[in-house]
Amino acid sequence: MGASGPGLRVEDLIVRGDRGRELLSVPRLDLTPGGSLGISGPSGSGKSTFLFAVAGLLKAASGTVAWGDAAITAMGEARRAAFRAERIGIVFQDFLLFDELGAADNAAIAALYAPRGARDGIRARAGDLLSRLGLADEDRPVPGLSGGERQRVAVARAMAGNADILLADEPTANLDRPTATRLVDDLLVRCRERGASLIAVSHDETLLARLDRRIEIRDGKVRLDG
Amino acid sequence: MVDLWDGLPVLAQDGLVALAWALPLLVVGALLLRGLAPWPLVRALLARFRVPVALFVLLIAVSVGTGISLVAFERGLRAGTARAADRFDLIVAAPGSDITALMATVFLQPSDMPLLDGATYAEVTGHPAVAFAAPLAFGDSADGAPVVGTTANFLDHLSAGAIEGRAWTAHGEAVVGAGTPFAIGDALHPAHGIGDFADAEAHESHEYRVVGRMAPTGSPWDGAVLLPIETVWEAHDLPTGHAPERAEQIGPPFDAALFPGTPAILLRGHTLADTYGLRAAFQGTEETMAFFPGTVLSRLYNVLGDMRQIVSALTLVTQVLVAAAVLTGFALLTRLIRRQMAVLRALGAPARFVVAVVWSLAVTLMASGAVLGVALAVGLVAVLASVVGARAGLAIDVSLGLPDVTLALAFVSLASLIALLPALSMRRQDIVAGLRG
Repeated sequence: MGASGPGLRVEDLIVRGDRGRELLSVPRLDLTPGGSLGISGPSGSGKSTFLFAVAGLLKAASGTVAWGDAAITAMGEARRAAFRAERIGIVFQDFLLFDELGAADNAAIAALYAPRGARDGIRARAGDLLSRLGLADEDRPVPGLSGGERQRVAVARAMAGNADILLADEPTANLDRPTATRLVDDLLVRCRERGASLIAVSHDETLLARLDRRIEIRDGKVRLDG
Repeated sequence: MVDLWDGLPVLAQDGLVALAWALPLLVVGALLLRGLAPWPLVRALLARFRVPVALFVLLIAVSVGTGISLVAFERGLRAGTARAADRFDLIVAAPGSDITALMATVFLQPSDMPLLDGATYAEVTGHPAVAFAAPLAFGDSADGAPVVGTTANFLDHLSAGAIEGRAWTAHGEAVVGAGTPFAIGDALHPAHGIGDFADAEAHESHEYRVVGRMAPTGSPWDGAVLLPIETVWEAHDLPTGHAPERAEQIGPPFDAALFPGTPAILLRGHTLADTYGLRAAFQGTEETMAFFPGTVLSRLYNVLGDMRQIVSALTLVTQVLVAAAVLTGFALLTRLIRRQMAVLRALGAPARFVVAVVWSLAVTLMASGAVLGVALAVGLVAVLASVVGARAGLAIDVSLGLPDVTLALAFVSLASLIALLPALSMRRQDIVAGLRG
């Protein structure tokens, strides 16, 4: 097991959308270093917005999001991008892989823009992750992969950059139960190995039950914290 | 600085000009791509959108190829016409239009020119500065080819002695140009006039026998039939320029009183200064005008140069419009990869990487089209030179050089700057909106 990922601290976070409409309000939320957090709630309630906010993809109207000592809400766009590249891995809903590339190239996509010295490491880690996820030597174009295979490629991509924060948006959606179980196993094992902090948005009770904490978001507000 | 530039070899100058044009492309490329490796993704995206990509490349290739070939062909045409006029130092004709006289003498275009009489001919050719003089009597044709009556020294001058068979030694003998369909031994039937207006019956009692064939000169004279001028006069039932007791003589001296006239005389002085002196002596007199064909051609080039600038400007405008159309199409194409670019940025790719991917896509399209365009231009100029050269009787030698490639390079370089617009617009797009498609 590696060193623990940073803890998350959210204070008085407000995210607004078009015409100032409030999309999300989180007065206070903490996640211990290396811990895991599940987020549930109805569709359109603000779960993905929360995930995007803690990834620095959305600009907060007010409040603070900090990973360890790094206040992502205080960073400019370039620094937030660099922070994501170095520290955060994201598994998107619908995978959002590059159909033009094979599995290995998708998993190692960060090598295209990483510093020259880090590229070989990213490719090696991507290959290793794919191998451990049962996709060794797999370089079929993405459209030829099954849903489960795509999701595993997405996990490999999220972790190939050596991230110590993993954000997953509905990682088991559209997967059958055995595939979903295997993916959750993979996700948790990889996070544990690396000591990464994990936040997963999901409707999957099996996944949520295996995380350290869970919250529910309804109408943009944290309703349940247990 | 100017002296330093002028002292450089032409190739070095062309190379530096090409480098200067390439500079925007190189600078933008270096700034954008430094430390990044977007090519695997660019290649994959090009492969995915291969149909629109192929159409864009083809459109650019046609635009660039047409532009380059027009400029190169115009240059070749100019060189070809100048080369055709090379052997015509100074033309003396009756007062009138020097352009008409130029077209008639150098390019053998049908024209109606007044004749210089025997006294004038004697005065001109007897000038002490004259080293070479030959009458040029045109207006007839033989089996479709223009006929020119002249003297043997002109035949030597034009062919530089390269004649298959032999020069004429008697009336009725002809030497044909390399581009004519006639062979040695053929009998030719003269007609009065040339082309559709030729009267085949006017000289029907006459016949010319081909005794020689000139090597190619690369001029309209390759399509001509050359005869002793006396034979032309005979066909018109005129005196032959010689007294009856010397009726079989061909060539000078001519008897001024029996000289029927010639539309033009080709002259050269003993020295260049002499030739200029001859021009001064016979330009603007009551009986004559004298002109350097090269000077009249330069005047024509100046007039045509304005047209060339207009054509060049129109070509450039067309290329800009094509580039704009392609980039508009490209901007639409970038909408198709909007989500992929948003994913890259969400994963932490620097904005410069996204700009580099989109810019590299555009520049690859432009550069591929330009390379294909240069290849297309090579074929186009060959076809144009062959077709127009055959019609005008000119040897048009067009080869593409570094300046032509520089045109394509300039196009790519300028287009690479314009391509920054759609590339930079990707940078401004909202990441989350892009992720949600």
